[in-house]
Amino acid sequence: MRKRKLTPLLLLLPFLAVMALLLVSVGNILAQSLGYIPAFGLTEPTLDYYGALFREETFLDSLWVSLRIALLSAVFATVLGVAVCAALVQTGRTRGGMLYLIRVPILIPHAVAAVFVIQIASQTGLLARLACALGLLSDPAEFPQLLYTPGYGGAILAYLWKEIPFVAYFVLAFMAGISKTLGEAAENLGASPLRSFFQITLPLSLPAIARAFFIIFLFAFGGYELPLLLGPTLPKALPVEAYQLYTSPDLLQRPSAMAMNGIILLFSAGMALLYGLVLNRLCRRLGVAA
Amino acid sequence: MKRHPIFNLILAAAGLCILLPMALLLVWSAAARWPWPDLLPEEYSLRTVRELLFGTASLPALVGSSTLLALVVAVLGTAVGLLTARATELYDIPGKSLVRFGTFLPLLVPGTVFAMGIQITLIRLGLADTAAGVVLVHTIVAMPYCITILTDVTRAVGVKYEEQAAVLGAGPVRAFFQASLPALLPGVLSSMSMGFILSSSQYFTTLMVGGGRVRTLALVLVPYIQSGDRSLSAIYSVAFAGSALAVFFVLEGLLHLLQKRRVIL
Amino acid sequence: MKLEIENLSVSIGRTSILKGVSLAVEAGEFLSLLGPSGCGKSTLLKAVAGLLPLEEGRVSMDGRDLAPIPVHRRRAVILFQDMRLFPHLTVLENVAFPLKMQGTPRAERNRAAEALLERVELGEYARRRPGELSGGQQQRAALARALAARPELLMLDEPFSALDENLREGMRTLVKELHRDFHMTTVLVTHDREEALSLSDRVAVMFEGRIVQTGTPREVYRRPAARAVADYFGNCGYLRGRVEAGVFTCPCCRCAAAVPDGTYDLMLRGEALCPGAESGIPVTVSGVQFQGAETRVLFAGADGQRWSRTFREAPPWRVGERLTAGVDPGEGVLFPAEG
Repeated sequence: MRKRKLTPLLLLLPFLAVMALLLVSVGNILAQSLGYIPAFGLTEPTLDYYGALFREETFLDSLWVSLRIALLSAVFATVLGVAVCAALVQTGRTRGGMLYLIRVPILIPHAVAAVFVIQIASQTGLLARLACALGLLSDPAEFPQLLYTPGYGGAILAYLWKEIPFVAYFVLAFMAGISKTLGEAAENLGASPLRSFFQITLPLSLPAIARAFFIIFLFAFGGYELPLLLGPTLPKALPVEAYQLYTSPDLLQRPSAMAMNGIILLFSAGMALLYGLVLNRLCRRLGVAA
Repeated sequence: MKRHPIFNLILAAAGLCILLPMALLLVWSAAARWPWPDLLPEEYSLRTVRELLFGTASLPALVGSSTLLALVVAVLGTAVGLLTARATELYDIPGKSLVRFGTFLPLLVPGTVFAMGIQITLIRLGLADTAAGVVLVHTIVAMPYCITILTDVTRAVGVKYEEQAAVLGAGPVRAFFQASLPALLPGVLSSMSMGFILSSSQYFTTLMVGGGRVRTLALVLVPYIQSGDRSLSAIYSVAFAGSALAVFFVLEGLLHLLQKRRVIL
Repeated sequence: MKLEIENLSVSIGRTSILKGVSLAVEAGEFLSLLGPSGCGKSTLLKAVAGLLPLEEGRVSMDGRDLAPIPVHRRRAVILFQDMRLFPHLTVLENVAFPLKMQGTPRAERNRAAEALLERVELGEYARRRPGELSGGQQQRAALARALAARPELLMLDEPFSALDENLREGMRTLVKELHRDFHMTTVLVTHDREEALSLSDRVAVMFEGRIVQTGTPREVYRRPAARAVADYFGNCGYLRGRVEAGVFTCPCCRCAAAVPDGTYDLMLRGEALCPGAESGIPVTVSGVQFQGAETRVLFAGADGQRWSRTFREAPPWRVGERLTAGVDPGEGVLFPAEG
């Protein structure tokens, strides 16, 4: 194609516009969290708002809640998602009916996943009723409370329902490719299907798996709907807490709200950095390109 | 070649976990009374369906506007994705890795954070409380996924068809639409699917940027869930999930049809 | 180890790839499976290795039916076209892999792997990763790994097609030497005729999922059992004539023929022609190509046949010249006339 210097730049304009908006948003957050909001008469940049957060019980609780949700969701979704993916690859069902079924949860909105969890795992949900029918309990209160507790078990369950299929689908193409060539060769050279999977297919699929883990962690860390719908009044997840502060009638709370957002961004950036390092290391160790 | 039975077991368990909640949803939406500890509703009713179709939320209009908004986001996201993918894959530009990095930035900035940060700018641009503002924000959220999908297909297809069309006498625009686009179609449909799903599931960004003026199914569903009315939340969930699945299967069906007719690879 | 394939049929999806294939490979034999792309050669290898299910038929090694034996216990190793070295293991670990699967202790298997690497002249690359090796080196590493498995049957799936011309010769020699040293039953899949003819004890020619002829290279080349086989080796032309009472007659020649009466085509190869003779086939010189050590001359027959023959010295003919080419019809093969 004709390599006019201008064309690629023109093509990139929409992308650059989006980038600009992103940077503006981050810029606003940083500015406001540092106390620079001329409209409210605040013009002195300061780290006080950040400092104050770390002395506050509610903030620290919220931070811990979000981190916990993100970590547990990401770990379990990844492990179980890889298991489902392995099952798909080993049974040769990498296309067709089963795969469409697995993809359905990815299409279903998160709020609906919350409805599912309420219907099944709440103290008056299906599982509790089944337990009652089996004579294991007689009062709803006897069923373990997963929803609306500081443990956020309900939210994590909802994330798992949606993200296990996501991991399975995300890693599938990659793992299937490896299994078809290198996994097959390993079996041909004497490795049982199980050994071939654990020694060859799984290690070489780790870059894709790491990518999936990272995406889920970040998503769950910044999640709003599920912690809102399935969590207790206190402690709130960090994004929920931040929004509450943001909409406070006391406008001077705004910088604190933005500081919370700033912390979220900081953790995201830190996670991205960690991911970059891990991926680099991993690819070098595996002798594959990133 | 027998595979270990555990794999089939895993898939069966997965299938059950996916289908059971959905079946349960249908039962709940038709339930009038379902007290503890019954395993099936005591009384069925079409109250929820009536509320759905004729109630205050006026479903048909809602589904219509929700779907339209999500489709616009899908098209926009795909367009941005195509242009960006073209720039990075088919041209030799400096800072390609910067573009790749930039593609993933929206993933680092969660929807809530982004919306709170951009609010003040949207107000200044006059986009706050408008559908346009919502579309813009949704497109930004969908962008990483669209670009990733389209980058892969663009790289795979390359310029070969366009070059061939060009030497056979087609101008650049015709060459793209007639020669390359058919080959890119699977990626385009996939990106549109993704964009649609992401937009229709957005709750917080719609709430915050639309200011309550822009109403989507997601926005309407959340208060119903919080109210604790299981039947109503169920029927709205059915409408919501149903429309998402419908659009997805239409796009997939289109793709399948085109592939079968050998129109595209 | 003697390999016996009986009446094998294999389908992929709804397409039938192998249709009733039967083949026997003697212990220690080097057999080439020769045929055009897509005829099912690779599918046959995979079916023998157990990587594809059989619709019909039986595969046995030394009389033992392979059907109940899973892939990883068959000791029928394939050297794949894309080599499939494990990128996350060193070259040494790759070669030692089959031994590890067999439970050989580390020190012993590393020693064995190193010895094999020396044998294929990759000793210094033991600690490297496959990604750091060139194509030819990777091929040798893959070969060493296949041998490390001490297979009863070694199958090579078009192993040289990805290599440069100069590397191919070296690899072929290496494979032949290793076959001689290790005495393994070997099946080489290729579409390269020269390769099949020069390396093998026997050649099995395959078209469209069926084995059309099996024999020594000489037999397959000089006594093709079907036109397709003759055509595959190329440089052949047909003279139409009639057989009556055990004699084949055509406008240019006659010879004895132990076949029933009828119309036949006599297949003759270019090397059987002696241009510049007194009697024989009328031909026109259609091309003269200098090829370095030899000169190739192209001849066109009266009915559109095409032959070529190479000469040490540049022949005196010009393009367009008409000659008579003497033939020895005994060198030819009779096929019943078609159409």
